[in-house]
Amino acid sequence: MAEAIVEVENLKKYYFERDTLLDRAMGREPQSVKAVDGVSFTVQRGETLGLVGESGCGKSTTGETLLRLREATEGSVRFNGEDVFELDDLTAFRRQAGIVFQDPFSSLDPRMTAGEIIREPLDVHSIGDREDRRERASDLLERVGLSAGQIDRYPHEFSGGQRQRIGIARALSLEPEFIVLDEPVSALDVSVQAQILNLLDDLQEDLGLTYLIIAHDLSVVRHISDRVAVMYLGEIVERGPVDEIFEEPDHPYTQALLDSVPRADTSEHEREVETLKGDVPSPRNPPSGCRFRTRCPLVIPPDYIDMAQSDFRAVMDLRERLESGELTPEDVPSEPDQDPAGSLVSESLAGQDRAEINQALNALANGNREAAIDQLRSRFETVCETDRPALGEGVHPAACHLIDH
Amino acid sequence: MTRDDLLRVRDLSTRFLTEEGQVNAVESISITVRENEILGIVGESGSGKSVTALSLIDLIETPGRVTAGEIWYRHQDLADEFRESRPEAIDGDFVDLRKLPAGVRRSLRGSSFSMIFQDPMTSFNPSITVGEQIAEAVEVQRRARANPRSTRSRTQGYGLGQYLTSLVLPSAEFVSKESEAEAIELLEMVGIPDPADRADEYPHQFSGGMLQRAMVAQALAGEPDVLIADEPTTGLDVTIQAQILKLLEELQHQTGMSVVMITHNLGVIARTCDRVGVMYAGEVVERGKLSDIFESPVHPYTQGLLGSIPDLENPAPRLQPIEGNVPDLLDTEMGDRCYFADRCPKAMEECLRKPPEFEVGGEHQALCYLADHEYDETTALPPDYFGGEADG
Repeated sequence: MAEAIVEVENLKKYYFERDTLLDRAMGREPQSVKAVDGVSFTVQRGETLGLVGESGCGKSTTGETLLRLREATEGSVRFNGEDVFELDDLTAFRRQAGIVFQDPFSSLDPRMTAGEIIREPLDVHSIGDREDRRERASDLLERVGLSAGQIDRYPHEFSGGQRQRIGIARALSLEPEFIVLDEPVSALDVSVQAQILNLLDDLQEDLGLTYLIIAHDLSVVRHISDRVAVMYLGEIVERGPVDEIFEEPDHPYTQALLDSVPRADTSEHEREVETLKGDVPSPRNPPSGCRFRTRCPLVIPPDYIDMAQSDFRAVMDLRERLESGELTPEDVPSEPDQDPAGSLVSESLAGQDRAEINQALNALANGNREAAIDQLRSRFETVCETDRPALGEGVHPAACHLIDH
Repeated sequence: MTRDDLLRVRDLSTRFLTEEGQVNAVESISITVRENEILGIVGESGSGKSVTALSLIDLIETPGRVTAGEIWYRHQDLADEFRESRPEAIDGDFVDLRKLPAGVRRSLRGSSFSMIFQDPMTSFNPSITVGEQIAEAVEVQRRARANPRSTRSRTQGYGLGQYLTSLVLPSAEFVSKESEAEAIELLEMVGIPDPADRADEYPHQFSGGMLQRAMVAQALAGEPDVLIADEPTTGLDVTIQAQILKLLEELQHQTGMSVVMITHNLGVIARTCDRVGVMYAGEVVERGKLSDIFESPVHPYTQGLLGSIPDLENPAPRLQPIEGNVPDLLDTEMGDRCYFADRCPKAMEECLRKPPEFEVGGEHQALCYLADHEYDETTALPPDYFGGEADG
C-alpha cells in the first residue's frame, strides 16, 4: 500500500453573506454559502487523483483550501503527516506543494519575462545565487518543451499552450512533490491540450510527482487520473479507481454525468441520452438529505408507494414548489369536487396517492398551506430527503441510499 | 432520403484589414447547407468558423469585409422579384445574396437566417426582461410580415429625433400584447418551466442553461430556414450541454429548419450532425458525411484532431497531439502552400503548392494531395524545413 501524501478530512469552506457589522447590529443572521461541505480523501504518493464535477460544485475551492490559499472553515489537511492548518511557517510546505492555474492568460504577470516568472519562486525562497536561478529557469523552459532562447520574452509573445507550459515550469521551479492542477487544459484547443497532457504525463514519470487534477472534462480526467472523486454541490458523491468509476459508476449522478458527455464517434449519433432535468441547486440553500435528489432519476419512494418514477418525480416537484411558496392557491383550479392532482401532477396517479394529493391541493386552495405541506410530507417523504447519505469507506464508495436498498 | 440544397456557398472569402496587415480569416470556402439537416463546422480557435457564420448572414463589421464568393440561397419569392431587375443574381430558384441590395439581405435576418451565440450572458441586454427581449424579436418579424418592405429600409438611427420619439413612445409600448403572448409560447417551446413568470425576469435571474434556451427562443421568433448555432454549448456544464443539444435536435425535427452547428467539440458534432466540414486556417480542409470524417478521414489535420482527444470509453495510454500551433493568418505569411504543411507529419514537396479540392468519393472531399495519391516518402520535406521553435 502506497503512503498517503495528502490526507483531507472533513474539509469545509463556507462563505458568509450578510455578515457585516451593520448586519449584526440589525440582528440579521449571516447566511452561509457552503462551497465545500465536508469532503474527505487522500492522495497517495506518485498517483494522480482527479476531482471532477460541474461548475460551482466546489472542486476548485477544495484545491485552493487544501493548499491553504484560502482559510478553511473546518476540517484538517495533513501533508506528509503534518497538519497544514496548524503550521506557523508555511515556507517548507510551499516548497513542496505547488499549483498550476486554469487561465494561462491571467495567471502570468504581463510585465515579467518568462525567465522572471519561472525564477520568482526561487527568489522568494532565496535558493542559489542569481546565476544559478537563471540557469535553472532556462533548464525548466527546456524541460517543459520551450527553448532556452525564449527566456527573455514576455507572456504576450507566447500562445496559450506555451503560456501554460510557463505556468507548469513555474510550479516545478521549487521541485515540489505535489502539484494541484486546476483545470490545466480547459482553456486550450484540443490539439494543444493533448500536448500539455502528454507533458504532464512525462513530468510525473520523470520527477515522481503527485497530482491532484481538478477538471470538468471527463475524458481528460479519465486519461490522466489513477483515481477519481466526483463532486456535487460541495460534497464528494463517489470515489474510486478510474476504470471502476467510468465503467461501473454506482452513484446516479456519476452515471448521468458520464451519459451526458458526447463521444467523438459515429455511434454517438444514435445513442440515447437520458438528460438530467433542471439546474444545480444553489449552495446557499442546498436540498436536505441527498443533495442530488432534486434531479435524481432514481429517487427511492417509501415502501408503500407504488408509482412510476416520473410520477414520483412530479410529486416531488409539486412538493418543492409548494414548500418554496412558488405554488400559490391561485394555481389550483378553484372548482369544487375537481381533481387538481390530474392536471397539476400526473393523470396516471391512482388510489390513495391521488386522493391525498387532491386533499392537500384543496387545503392549499382554501388557504391552509401548512396542512397541505404536512399531508404530502407524511405520505410521500423519502429517505433521500430525510437522511444525508454517507460516503462509506473502502476502495469505491458512493454516497447514495440505493447502495443499501 | 435525399434533401435539396438550401444554401450553396461558393469560394467565399472574408478579409480583415488590420494594422499588422491583411488577415485572411476565411479563404475561399465552399459549403452546402441542405434543407432539414444539421451541418457541423468544426475547427480550433482562429480557424475561421465563426467568421464563416457571420459572413453567411452578412454581419461582418469593419475592418472585416467579405471580398469574394457567392452565397446562393433558395428562395422562390426573392428569385421572382429580382428575375427582371438583377438577372445575374438569379439561377432558377436560387438567388445570390451578395448581389442583392443590402436592405434585402438585412430583411432576411430573423426570417430566413437566425443565429445563437456562445455566451448567453453577454448576448442579452441585462436591463430589459427576457420576455420583452424575445417579444421585441417577435414584434419585428410580425411587422415585417405585415409590410415586407418595412425592414428593408435603413434601421432607425440614434439621432435626437429618435431620442425624442423614444421619450414619447417608450419601448414597452413598441411591443404589442400579441407579441408578448407569443414570446411566452416560445419560452414554453424551448422548455422553460413557468414561462409566464420567467418572462418577467431579467437575464441575471436565469441560469446559463436557461438563458441559452431563451436565446434559442429568440432566434426562433422569425421561424428561420437556417439557424446558425455558434458554439451553443461551450461554457455550459455537460449535463446542461446534453439538454441544449437535445433541445436543438428536437426543434430541428419539429420545424424542419436547417441548423449550422459551429463548435470545436468533436463530440457535439458526432452527437448532432449529418454532414461535417473541418476548418483549418480559414479553409474547409475536409468535408463529408459524419462517417466519412470520423471513420475514414483523409486529411492529416482531421486525423490529428481525432487523435488528440482523449477517449472517454477506451482511453489510449498516450495521446497523439498535432505538433505546433495554429498559424495567425496574416496574408503576408501565408504564401501559396498547404497551410497545414508546417505541422503535417506527412508533408511532401508538392505541399508547397496549394492543393486543390480532391474528390475522395461520394460527398467526401479533402484539400490534400493524399486524397489523390499515396504518401511518397522520397519527396518528404525535412522535419525542420519550416524552421520554427519548440511550440505548444
